Amino acid sequence: MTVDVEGYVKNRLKVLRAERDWSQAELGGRLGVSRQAVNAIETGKYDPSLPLAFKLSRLFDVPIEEIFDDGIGGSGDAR
Amino acid sequence: MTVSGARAMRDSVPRGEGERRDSARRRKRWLIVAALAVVGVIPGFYMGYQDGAAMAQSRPSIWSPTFAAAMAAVYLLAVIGGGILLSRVTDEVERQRSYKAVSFAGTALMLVYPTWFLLWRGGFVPEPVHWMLFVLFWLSLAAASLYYRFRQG
Repeated sequence: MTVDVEGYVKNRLKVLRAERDWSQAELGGRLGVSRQAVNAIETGKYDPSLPLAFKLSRLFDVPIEEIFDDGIGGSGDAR
Repeated sequence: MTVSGARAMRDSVPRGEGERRDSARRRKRWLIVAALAVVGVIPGFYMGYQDGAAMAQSRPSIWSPTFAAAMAAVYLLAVIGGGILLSRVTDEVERQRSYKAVSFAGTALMLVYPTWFLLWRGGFVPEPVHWMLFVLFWLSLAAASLYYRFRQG
């Protein structure tokens, strides 16, 4: 399992944001959260709630699994 | 580059909808905090002035029941109303941080007050002072809030 040392899930938020040339404040405003919240998620210091994860998924138009990686694998074997 | 120069440069960059919303949210939050600070500072100074004047004249500072009830109402209104307003502009990261900080401050109070009380009953220390316990709670809350804010970035 490749979850980081503090047990948080890894994510590709920074990459997805950079692809759209959005600042953290821009993404935060679109999500309805603060710039600090985006930073905390990007740096792996905070795992977002499910509603926020779904919001991210809809905003970037990608499945949640393409944003977050718990290190277990993507074929549904986490059940 | 000066702070105002950096701000001018930042402001000259066209901002997206998200950044505008983020600014509006932050502005709203600061307005609420500033309003709460004003509500706290004005009665605080007035009460301090009254108590100070009484102390200077070597007389006890006695509040009228009306004044005490009004102050209690202002306090309750500010804490409850301010809490509701702030919760509307608080995101889940800030909320989690607040929960942790309140939990820390509550634990500090739970440890300190009974210990102090028991030691007082045993004659080891002076009687617990209510305002010191209140200040302890707020200081623990502020310290924990800062710690979690710094740690979470």
